[in-house]
This record gives sequence, C-alpha cells and structure tokens, in this order.
Amino acid sequence: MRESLFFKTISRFLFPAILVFALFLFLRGHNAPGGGFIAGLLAAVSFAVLGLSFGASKITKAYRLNSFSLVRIGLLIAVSSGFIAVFFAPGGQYFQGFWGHVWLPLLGEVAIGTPVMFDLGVFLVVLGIGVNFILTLMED
Amino acid sequence: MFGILLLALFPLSLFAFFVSLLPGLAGGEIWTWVCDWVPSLGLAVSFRADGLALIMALLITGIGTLITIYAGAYLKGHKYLTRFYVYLFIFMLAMLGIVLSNNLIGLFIFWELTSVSSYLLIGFKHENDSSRASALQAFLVTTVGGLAMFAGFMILGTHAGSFEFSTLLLQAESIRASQLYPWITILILLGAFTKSAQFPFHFWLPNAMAAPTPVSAYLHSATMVKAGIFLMARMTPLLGGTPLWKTLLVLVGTATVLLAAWMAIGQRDIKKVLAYTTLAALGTLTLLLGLGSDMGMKAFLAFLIAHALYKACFFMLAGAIDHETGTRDMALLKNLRKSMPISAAVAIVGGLAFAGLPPSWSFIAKETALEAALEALPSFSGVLALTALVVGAVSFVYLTALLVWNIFFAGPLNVESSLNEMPKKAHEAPWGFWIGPAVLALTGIFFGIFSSSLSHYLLEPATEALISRREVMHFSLWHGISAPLLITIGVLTGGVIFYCLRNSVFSNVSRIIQAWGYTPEKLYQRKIAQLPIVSKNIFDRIQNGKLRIYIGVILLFTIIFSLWPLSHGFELNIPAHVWSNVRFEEILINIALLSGAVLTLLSRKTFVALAATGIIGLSVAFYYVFYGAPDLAITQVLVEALSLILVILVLFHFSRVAIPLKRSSHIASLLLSLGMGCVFGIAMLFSLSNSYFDSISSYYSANSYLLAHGRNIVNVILVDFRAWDTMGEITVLGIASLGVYAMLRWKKGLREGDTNA
Repeated sequence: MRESLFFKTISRFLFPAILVFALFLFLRGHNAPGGGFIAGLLAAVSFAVLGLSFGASKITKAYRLNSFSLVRIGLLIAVSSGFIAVFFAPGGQYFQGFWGHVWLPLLGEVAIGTPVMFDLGVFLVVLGIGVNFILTLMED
Repeated sequence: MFGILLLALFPLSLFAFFVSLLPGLAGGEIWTWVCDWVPSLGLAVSFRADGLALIMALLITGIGTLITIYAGAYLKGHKYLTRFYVYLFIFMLAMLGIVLSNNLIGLFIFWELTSVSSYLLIGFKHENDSSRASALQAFLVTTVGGLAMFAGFMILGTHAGSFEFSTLLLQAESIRASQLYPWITILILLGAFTKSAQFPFHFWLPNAMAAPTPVSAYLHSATMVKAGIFLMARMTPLLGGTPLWKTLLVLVGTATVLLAAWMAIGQRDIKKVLAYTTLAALGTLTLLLGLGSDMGMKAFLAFLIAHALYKACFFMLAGAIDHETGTRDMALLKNLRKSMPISAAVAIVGGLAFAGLPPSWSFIAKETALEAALEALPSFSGVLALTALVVGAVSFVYLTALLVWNIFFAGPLNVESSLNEMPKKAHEAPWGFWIGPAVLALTGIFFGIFSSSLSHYLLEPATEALISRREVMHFSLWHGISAPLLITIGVLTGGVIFYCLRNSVFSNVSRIIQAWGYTPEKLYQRKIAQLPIVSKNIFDRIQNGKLRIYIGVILLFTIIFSLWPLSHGFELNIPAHVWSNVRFEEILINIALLSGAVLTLLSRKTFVALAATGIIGLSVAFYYVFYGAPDLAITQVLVEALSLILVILVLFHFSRVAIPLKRSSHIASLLLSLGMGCVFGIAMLFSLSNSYFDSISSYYSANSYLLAHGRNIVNVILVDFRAWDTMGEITVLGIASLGVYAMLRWKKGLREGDTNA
C-alpha cells in the first residue's frame, strides 16, 4: 500500500483517541449505550487505522499483537466469569450475576459484578477477531 | 514397569467396584445411576447394571487390567505409549458406557466412541499404509451399521415415546406387534451384525489384526466385537422371539460360523487364525441367541464368558511368540517348549478351553450349547445350529492342536515358505507377557470346577435380562453319558483326524480360498474405490468455486422458503398510525438510503459501489438512533466501517483480476435482488401486522436494573440475561476466526511457495 504522510500523522493521534473512546464505551456500557462488543469493534478499528498507515506487520510487531491469545484469554475470562456465582453465591447457578461493591479513588463506591468480567471477555474476543481479520488481510 | 502397574490400578479398581455389586445382584438388587442431561429432549445419562451388563463390565475391566499390564510389556519403550493408553482407556470407558447404558441415545454415543477409539487403535502403527487402510475399513463398516442402528433406535424411540430401555421393555408386546417392527429389527440388527463382524460384514475383523496385539486381544476378541452380541442380547426381551428375529439370527450366525471355520483352517498367521476363530465364536453366540430357548440363553451366557477368557489368553500368547521369535508364521514356528516353557504351560491350560475339553468352563459352555441345539431338533434352525456347532468345534480342536502342539512341542506346518528359520532366537518372554494369559487360562479352569458359584452370582441374574425371569441353572463337568458328550467325543476324533492330515488340509483349503473371485471384501473395495470418483463428479458441479453461484443458491432458497409459508394465509392489517405518523427525518433518511442504493447500482467502479453501500448502512443506523436503539446504531456504524475496510482489503488482493459478467448473469442477479427485497419487505409488513406474543421488552425494562444492576437493557441482555447465548456467539466467532486465518494464511503460503519454486 502507498504510504501517505498525512494519514500517518493523523493516525498517530487518532489511534489513542479511538482506544480511549473504546475504553469509555466499555465502562459505561452497563448503564448507557456501549458495552464490550461495541468497544471491541472500535478498538479493532483503531488498530486497523494504524495498520493502514504503517503496515500490518510493523504494528503486529510493535504492539506484540497475538490475536489468538486475545481470543483465548477472552474466552477464558468469559467462561470463568460464569463460575464465580457457582462458587461464591449460595445456591448460585452458572452465569448468575454476582455483585460486590468496591471503593475506587476518584469514583467512590462502585458496584462491580461478574457481568462486567464477562463483558471484558466479549471485548477481548471481538478485538482479537477484528485484529485477526484486518491484519491478516493487510499483510502482503 | 512400576508405572504400568500403577496405571493398571485404574481398571482394577473399576473391576473391584463391579465385583462388589455381585452379592447385591444375586439378591435381586440392581445398581442404577441417573443424571439428567438434556431433559427437554428426554435425554438422561442413565446407567443400570443388571446381570448381563455386569458380565460384560467384569470382562471389560478384568481383561482390561490384564491388557494394561500386557501392553506395558509389549509396547515397552514405544514412543507413543502414552497415546496408546489414552486410546485404550477411552475405549474401555466407552465400552462400559455401552453395556451400562439404560438409554438408547447414550448407548449409541458410547457405541460410536468405541468405533472411533477402535479406529485409532487399529491405526496405531500409522506409518503403515495397510494399518491405516484396515483402520478405515473397520471404521466405515461399523459406523455404517451404527447409523442404521441409530435410525432403528429413532424409529423405536419415537414410536414408543421413550428412549429409556426399562420403559421400552414395558411395551415390548405392542412394539413387536406394530407395523414398524420389521424396520426397527432389521436396522438395529444391521448395527449389531457390523459391529460383531457377522457375515457378510465379517471381513473387517481379520484385517483389524493390523493393530498391535494387545488391541487385538482386547477389542477384537474379548470386548468390542461383543458389543454387537451384547446389543442383540439386550434387545432379546424387547424384539426377540419373533420368526423374523430367529430366522435372521440363526441364518447369519450359521453362515458366519461355517465361513469362519473354513477360513481359519486356511491361515498361516497365528493372529489371522485367532481372528477367524473369533468370528466363528461370534457366529455361535448369534446363533444361540437366535435359538431363543431357555437352554440357548444359558449356553449363550456361558459361552460369552468362556470365549472372552480363552481367546484373550491366546491372543496375548500370540503376541509373546511374535515378540520373542519375530514371526507369527506357523510354517516357521516349532518346538518352542524348550525356550519358552512358561508360555508352553499356559498354552496347554488355555488350549483345554480353546478345544472345549474338561475341566475347563468352556467345556461346560459347549456341552450346554450342544444341548440347546439338540433340543431345537428337528426344526430347521436346530439342524443348522447343530451343524454349525459341530463344524465349529471340530475346527477349534484341530486349530488348538495346531497352535499348541505344533508350535510348542512338534515341528512346523509343512508348507512352502521363503524362510526356513525363525528370525530371532527365542527366549522366554518377560513376565508381563505371560501373567495375563496365565490368569485368564487359570480362571477358565477355576470356573469349570466352581461352576455353581459363577452361575449363582452372575449367570442366573443375567438370565433375568434375557428372558425376564430368573432361571435356576445347574452346571457340572460330569452329568453322565449324554448325547452332547458323545458328540464331543466325535468332535475330538474328527479334530485329531484333521490334525493327522494337517499338511494336505492346509494346502488344499488355502488354495481354494485364494481362488475365490467374488467376496464381500472385494465388493467393499470396489465400492470404496468408486466413492471418490462419484463424489468428485457431484461436487464439481455443486462446489464450482464461484462465490456468486453460492450466494445465489442461498438467496434463491431463502426466497422460496420464506415466500412459501407467507403464501398461505398471508393477511396484511397494518395499523393506520404506521402510515399517518411519518416523521420528517424519516423522509430524509429514506432519500439518503434510496440514493445510496441507486448509486450502488449505477456506479461502474467497485470502490464507488462499496462506498455507496456504506451510505445505505449509515442511513439505517440513523433509523436506530431515532427509534431509541443507540447501541444498535453504534454497532451498525462500526460494523459498516469495519466491513468496508475488510472488503477493500480483500478487493485489494484481487483488484487485478476482473471478470466481465454476461448479460444473463446481470439479469439473474437483478431478479434475485428484487426477490430478496420483496421477501424482506413482505416479512416486515407481516410482522408489523400480526402480533402473536406480548413483547418481552417490558420484562427486561422492568427488571434490568433491579436484577442486573444495569440501565442499558441491550447490554444487560447481552451479558447477563442471555449470557449463555453470548457465550455461544463469541465461541463461534473465535472458531470462525481460526478458519479465516487458516484460509488466508494458506493462500499466502501457496503464493510464497510459488515464488520459491
């Protein structure tokens, strides 16, 4: 692919911005539009932008991207999130939500539960797949 | 060796468990274990250890223990030893599953598992072409039968309304009277006949001798081939007793015995001899079940145990001889008594059972079988049974003499041979080789002497499984001068006469066998050779590699199958407000959408057309925004962007190749697109005008925050309410990505290969 200085310069700024936006979408997903799936797609887009401007193999190397470990780890997290309620909640079923409250600096008390963990798994799988498709196709 | 003994503890502990069930069973108590699996499909993992199941379970785990030890010696230092044990234990557990299953579906699954593990075990020496071919042959024959059996189970289960065997038994009368009975019987018997290598499906078993000897001893004589026999025995109280059942079993059993006895005489390879005698034994078992009398059932159970004991023993000995001398050719083996004294002793004790001589258990079994056949005289099946039993017994005596006397005590079979010495100088095999056969041979004698306890604890409870009532049995080695005893004496004489004429018997029989032109196996080979050609012809047409055609076919069928139900009773009553409340922004979106569509159609350049489809997608996203589905809108925009990138990347790879389409293809595409559009339009209107169920969105909006701590319903559904679905989806996505990756890399690898060449 031909290299474009313009696109390269912009993508340097675009990449972190999109990633942060993806993170934002992921975190707000439970109460407002967003969530793991969307965030995963968006994060994949951010890598696609980088890949388009700098070349896929360079990006894969620089970020040590291994799309299969992303998928693997994501699936592992998603599967194991279901077990938490089985082990910790009395009479808990697989994939039953299990919630706890944690105190975080700046945010105060936050409810955090296994669905968030599951969503993280979804995020990683979707990101892994997106990155896999795009970067494999870009490699030439 | 210590590790192997440790491994053997696993089957041994299972064996101990099954032994511990015996006293309860004698008292009429049957061990059961049920666990729901897919309740909505009526599937349960349900196990039931009645007498018949326990006999099999004890054989499987008991002989399994010995085989585990034996394999440790036989495959010592083999680089795939671990793999071997994995396959072996998978097989063992699957086999236990078959005999203990109370559910037909469960039984079928375990049945297929034994086929798969048998395939892996026969093909264990996977560097050999012939090994692989034999493995495939055994697999194909048994799975074709297995599928027929599955069809039989399905008909049976849907007809009777249950797949639980104990429930089916209650309706045995009505099942036997139903019109479907012949189909059920024939299909299920097909499964049993292929698995137990009955004529005309017998040919896979001798070929399966390509497996390492522990496998032959375990799967192909003692256990797996008995699965078909077991199934027939299981089905006897349900499907048995009818003329169809009896005729089929007696005819097939007799044919198998006669053919196998004949073939066994013409073999030089010890393992082949044993394989064919196994066939004859399996035929005998089928035959005894087919007789259907109480005496026949008794003989069946007795012979089932007897055969497993002595045949596994002989197979293991054959492996020991092979290991020590480097050959299994009876034309070379001679006089091993001096170099292998322990093996010789074991062979004599085991030989008593093989030939059916007292005081072995096998003698009692054979006497009972003869009695059952005599009882059935003068009917046609009685005549067949008696002929088969006598021919089988004579050949067994003859072959025992050949295997035991010739190999250990006398000279070799006198036939032409390229070699005239054994490849290796023989020594006594390590203890791991003879401990198993010794235990089995002694057990055979032990049961012969203490037959009453065997029948009390095992055989009598097992009759309950076969004839639905407990039959009291008395076995003894000596019950006066009777017809069976006289026949036995005649059989012995016959066997000895044959042995005296052994050289001419062998050369004549083997010559005739080689001259046979048309056998089931040759038919199989011809069909198998034709299969790839036929399928290539078909697939060249269907899978022609043109994506346009694939998509076209999919779309065409979607159109046909969606319009079909809509054409019946399609009624549009769209509420009036749908038309009156058209908002201003909707008009704008529609204009954008339509102009995107028109632009796509008119553009001459691919990239422009792609961008134009992007307009359509984005316009649809606006609809989601205005109708309160921001999540969908975001997803739509992102997917649109990503797929645009992907398609452009794909096109980038192919951009140099442009194939102009014919006018007719353009018209076909146009018609398909119009059709698809119409289908979707109509489906949308249809769903708007009919509401069969209350919407479930109110439930979600009411409970989303209360139950799941989330205000975004879409996301809560995805990660909490319907987490199982999402789990499935991401798993499928992960697998799909593996496929895509492999496909893209493969293409790339090919290209790199080209440049290198």
